[in-house]
Amino acid sequence: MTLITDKPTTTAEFQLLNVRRYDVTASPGFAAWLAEQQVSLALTNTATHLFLLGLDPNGSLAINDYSFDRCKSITSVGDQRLYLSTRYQIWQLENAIHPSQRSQHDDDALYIPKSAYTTGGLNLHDLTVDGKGNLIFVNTFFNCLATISEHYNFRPLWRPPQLRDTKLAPGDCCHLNGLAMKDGAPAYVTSLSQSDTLAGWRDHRHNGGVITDVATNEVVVCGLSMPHSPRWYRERLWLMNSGTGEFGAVDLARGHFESLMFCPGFLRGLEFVGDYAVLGVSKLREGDRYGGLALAERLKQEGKEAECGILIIDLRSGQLVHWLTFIGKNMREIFDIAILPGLRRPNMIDFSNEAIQDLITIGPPGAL
Amino acid sequence: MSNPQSDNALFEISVSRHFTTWLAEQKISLAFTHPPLKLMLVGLKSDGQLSVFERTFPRCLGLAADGVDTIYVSSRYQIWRLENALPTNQQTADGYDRQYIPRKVYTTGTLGTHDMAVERQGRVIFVNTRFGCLATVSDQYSYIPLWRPPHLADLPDPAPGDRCHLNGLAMKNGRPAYVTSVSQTAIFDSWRDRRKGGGVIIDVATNEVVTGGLSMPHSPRWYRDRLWVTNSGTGQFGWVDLVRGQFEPLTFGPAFLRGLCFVGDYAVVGASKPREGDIYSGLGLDEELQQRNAKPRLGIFVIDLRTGQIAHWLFIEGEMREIYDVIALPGVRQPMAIGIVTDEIEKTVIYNSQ
Repeated sequence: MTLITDKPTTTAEFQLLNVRRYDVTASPGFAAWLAEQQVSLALTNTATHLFLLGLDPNGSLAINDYSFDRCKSITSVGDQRLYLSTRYQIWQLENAIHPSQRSQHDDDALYIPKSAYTTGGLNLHDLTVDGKGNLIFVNTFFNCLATISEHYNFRPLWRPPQLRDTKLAPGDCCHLNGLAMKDGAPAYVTSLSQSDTLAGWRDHRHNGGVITDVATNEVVVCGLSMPHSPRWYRERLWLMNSGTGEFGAVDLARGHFESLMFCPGFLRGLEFVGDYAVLGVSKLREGDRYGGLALAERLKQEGKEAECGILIIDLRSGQLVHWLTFIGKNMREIFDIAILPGLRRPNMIDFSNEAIQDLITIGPPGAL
Repeated sequence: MSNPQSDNALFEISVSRHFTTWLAEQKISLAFTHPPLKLMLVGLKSDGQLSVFERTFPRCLGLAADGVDTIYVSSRYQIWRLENALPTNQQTADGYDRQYIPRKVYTTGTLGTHDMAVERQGRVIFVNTRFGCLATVSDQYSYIPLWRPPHLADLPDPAPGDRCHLNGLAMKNGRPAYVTSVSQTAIFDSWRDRRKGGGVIIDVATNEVVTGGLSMPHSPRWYRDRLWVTNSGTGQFGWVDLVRGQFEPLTFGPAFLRGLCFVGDYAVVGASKPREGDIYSGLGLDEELQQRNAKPRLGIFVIDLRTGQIAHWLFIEGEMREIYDVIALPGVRQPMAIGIVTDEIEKTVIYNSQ
């Protein structure tokens, strides 16, 4: 008789490996800025941390730290819902606190992971929701835009021009990573190259990056260095040219990236709040992957260390106005950022919290 | 995908002489939950030998199929939906003809989910034992309540506390029709005092008790125009004479019978082992076993409905003592599944390349 078992292996089993050994420093006005803009922030790093940044009742900065197995992409739907990609799933987290309520701890939101689709390992990057409420994500491992499926790990929606005529297959060719939505539909994507061969993008990190218009399939800007996080905001296409450490916007008529400022670290994760941009910034990875990038050279020249944290930039002045950095051995990268509008003190239940079992939310009665 | 052969299995399985022939004749596979850990899939290899495949779903209980390509299984605080990924008439390299992949999970919180079933339109219904109601899943909430038994109707809603141990659900024409409950009590956890004769079957449409006096009834099922049920506390499988409101035992099985499905002229019944001091002991079943000088069995009985005899069986020897539910998968020869514990669920990516 054949008996096949799936005894857990210690490497695959989710364990809370990262003991919370880190410090956080923030600019003096950071908490006041959150209060003034009436937002909280959600951040992921690429290991197990999900942070919610809000305010204590006394107005000082509150940093809540949660654990999800390889949490990466995050996006918010108002103050009621978050979507979060983890090792092999996309979770839908629902805020269990009604807008008119507060918890006994004075929290004004409590996000609970309620349901998830199994995507498998797709090296999923930007994750967002279109105008009809459908999830759309960048499936980097399959070089496509995709959505969830009831039957498959994903359903492909769009593929870059150089791969359109090939059979859909696993294997990251061009490192498609960023997605800008416009009027509730996918509009622009970033990729590190236009390669059509496996791992081809690795040879084009200095200047092979492009932005492609999803509707016309045309490359609207080329010559970028590891571009990330394209976003359409206030009638402009904003972009992180991560390989040079520059944040800026694209002149679509001239097909040109206009740098607004240089940032100390690898840029990835971009959201907007009023007149401000919120940028994720990471330390450079070891090894040759980031070696020789203009960013590394410039940091060396200026004698700066790359930071891990977030930067808040005033779009009117182009100046860095606030920042928050994590200091600690495991705190090297920020993967994504979400804005939680109207929330002052959000909280969350993760799977290491026993409340995941005991906290029951009951929907309106249905009919048999 | 790595499927290491087990070298220190949690249990050993033996089957009756003609069990595999019976599976082949009936052209089915079986799936059953083996709490507290395992979803079991039993079928035949291409050479006709028994194939047993298991995957870990902690605290699994309820099990339901929607056709043969969709399976729901409840675990500690979640409900998983598994989808077959193999196209029709295709097999894996190892000869499996169904590959069930956990596709969606709902966090229900701890509801003590027991029986699950799928309505004709595809909505999954489950017995929420902790809150004493029928419910369905939701992307936004732990559950959506659908129906409460009449003896809980006067309580404020929600009413947690497993007051009557509502556990079983029979579907009829694709809709919930009957439920079993260990008692009709409305006080916190009070069903435990009524395990010997407090059990009832309730008609969901009329809210009427169709039969009472049962001992820990489980697994009501509508089949061939009859309402079948296991009167688990007495070790009996039988049917309900709805006119007389009377349970008619057909077969005694040396076990706490629970988990039931039908295949042609046969009933497939789960068999659990009571142990002194647990909720399955101290019942009529104990005396019956003593009188017959019989040991309780763990596994599956195949009962011939024409004779009431146990025609075939599958026994398990191991650490775990319970079977919760069993389903038949018609037309499936050798099923397998991807588990949620190792990294196989991360590495298995199924997509439509058309």
